[in-house]
Amino acid sequence: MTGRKSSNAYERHDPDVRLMLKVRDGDAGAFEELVIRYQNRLLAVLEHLVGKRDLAEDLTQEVFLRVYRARERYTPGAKFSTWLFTIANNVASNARRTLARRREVHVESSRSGSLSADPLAQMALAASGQMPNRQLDHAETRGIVRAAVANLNERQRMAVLLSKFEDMSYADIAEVMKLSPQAVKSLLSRARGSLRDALSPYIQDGKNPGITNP
Amino acid sequence: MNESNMPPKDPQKIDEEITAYLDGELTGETLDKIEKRLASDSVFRARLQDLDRDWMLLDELPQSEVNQNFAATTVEMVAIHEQHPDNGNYGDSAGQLIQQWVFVGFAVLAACLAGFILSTALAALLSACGLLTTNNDAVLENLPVLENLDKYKLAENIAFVQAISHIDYFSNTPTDASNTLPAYLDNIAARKAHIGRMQPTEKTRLLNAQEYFMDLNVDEQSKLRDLHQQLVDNPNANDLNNALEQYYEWYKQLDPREHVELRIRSGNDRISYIRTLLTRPQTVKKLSFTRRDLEVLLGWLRRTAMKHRVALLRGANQKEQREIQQLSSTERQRRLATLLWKQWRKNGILQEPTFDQLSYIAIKEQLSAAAREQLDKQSSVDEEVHLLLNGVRSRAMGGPIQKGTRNVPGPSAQRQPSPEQLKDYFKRLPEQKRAQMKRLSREEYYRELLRGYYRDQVEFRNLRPKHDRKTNLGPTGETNRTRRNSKNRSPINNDPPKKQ
Repeated sequence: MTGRKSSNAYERHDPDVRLMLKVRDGDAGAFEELVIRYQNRLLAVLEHLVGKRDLAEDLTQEVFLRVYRARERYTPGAKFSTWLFTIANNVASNARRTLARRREVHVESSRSGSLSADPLAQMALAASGQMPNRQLDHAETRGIVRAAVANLNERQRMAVLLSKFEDMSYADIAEVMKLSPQAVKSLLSRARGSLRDALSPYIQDGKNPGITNP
Repeated sequence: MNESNMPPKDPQKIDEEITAYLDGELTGETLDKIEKRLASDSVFRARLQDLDRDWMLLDELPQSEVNQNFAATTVEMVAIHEQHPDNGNYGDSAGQLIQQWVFVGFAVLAACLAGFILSTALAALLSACGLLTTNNDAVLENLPVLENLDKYKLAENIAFVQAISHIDYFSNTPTDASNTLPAYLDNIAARKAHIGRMQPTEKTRLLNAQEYFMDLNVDEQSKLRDLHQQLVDNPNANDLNNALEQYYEWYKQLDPREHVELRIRSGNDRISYIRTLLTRPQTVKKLSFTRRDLEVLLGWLRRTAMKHRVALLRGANQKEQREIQQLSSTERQRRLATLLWKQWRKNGILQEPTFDQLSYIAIKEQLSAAAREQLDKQSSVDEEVHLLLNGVRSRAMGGPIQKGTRNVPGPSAQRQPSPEQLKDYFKRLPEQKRAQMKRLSREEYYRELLRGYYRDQVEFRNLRPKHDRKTNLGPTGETNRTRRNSKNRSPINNDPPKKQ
């Protein structure tokens, strides 16, 4: 397990920790700066977790609200991004539980139709010659990769997003997800294997791997 | 982590070690063992390539961006919640929230539905009568111009585009399918379908382009529309569009001073200046990238840099190490990619322990056909990679200069002012101007400072572009508002404007 740095060390090395300390001291501009720095990053991760853009935006704002509410008792005990994504993980988990209770499990994004249908629909269009092939390839790939990620279980998906988009170390991911680094390693390894199984047919011969949504 | 002396044989364990290796988590003896096995075991190596290749496909996932008001609405929302702390949070006591709001929700929904039906019917009626033009109609109408707005803004007129198409550098690159004018934009239905297929980030960019376009005066809008129409109608439309695309890609890699020089010149003067820039040694051998090529290459550089971050940091001086430690994760990646880039340019690639030929081959497969063709013409892998590195020069350096760092100087960037020069220039400004600049955001302050410094240096006070309020545009045409929401904008200097 990684050694714990003192609060001073995080304050010295992490500019976002310093900003958060300013928020603690009442600097509204510092809070807005943090929002600007992290809004896209949070949205990207949350959107892939919950599958809906508008919900992800709400959750992003919820995360910032919780950050602001926690400002007075904030003490740097980790990198700011680790702390922030821990909150995001909790918010996303709550949201998924609520969605499950409401029987509104939409894993895929709603904008371009269902994930499995979109790449297939575009392949059909390409076959009819109505779409430029180059654009079709990119869109099709995107749809299939998105479907492959959506087919991961929640923990694998979170670990993948934090590793890929946030470039977090196993130790940081472990802190966000309340796991051990070894568990994170296992999780990511299985996630890579799942992604490989889902994507390799597409890479090898252009065949839609027939990913089905849970 | 697995600290056994022998590499694992269990497939799951093997995958775990490969994953940890790819994620840069292995150190010491374990790392040595895995690397030795990679060098000698082709099956093991193939497995690594499989896992890495599929992982890299995750780069295809769209990176969502918020709209430009998101930060403001978030801060406002937080302020409102602070005033009314009893408002429930999403997910907290969800059952109670549902009970409290379900009746209100139904009532609001019914009212909204009625209003929606009424307004939609009214809008349809007015649209049918030609009395109402919505923003969506404007986007549909201007779509071909909006999608090419960044390029069209760089072109004065069709004569300029024709002139650059006669320059070998912009015309010798084989026409790429993505550089042809798309035929499906000919009618409104096709345009609607095209927009419908867009990702959220693409739609956001389109809306930003629409907003910028609508802010222009009528003459400027007409000029851009006319340019588009002249390009479409030209018998050599595809060649002209290709040349303009190549010019745009080349323009993005220039430094800010060269952008200014290009903007203040026109006609033959501008063409001459372009030829002058092109004959500089570092631009003679340049690979033409598509946007996707650049994304692939930059992603590869950053991943490789992160994998070898310990070694790269060890090679940096103490000051640089301290600076890098203070950066956020994304900024650190960029900075490490810059260090890697410098190292690869300085040493022979094949002698570089950080260079993995297998991963380079995998990356090359993901590049466009045009880029691969040009790379295949080189006589060695070393030359191929140097050609690639020349092409990603400005991107690998991380774009805007990060806090607490110096911009890594490229050949033309050596003329950029030092922080001391900028400070001296600021001190020489009139009191009123200094006070005005101090009221700007940090980003705007440094942008204005740099612009003023260059104006002072090149003495073109009287030749400032007509629409000065639009000169905040960067090479990709982003406005200040768009840039404010971009996550990686930092000032040139780490000193904020000092209050006096």
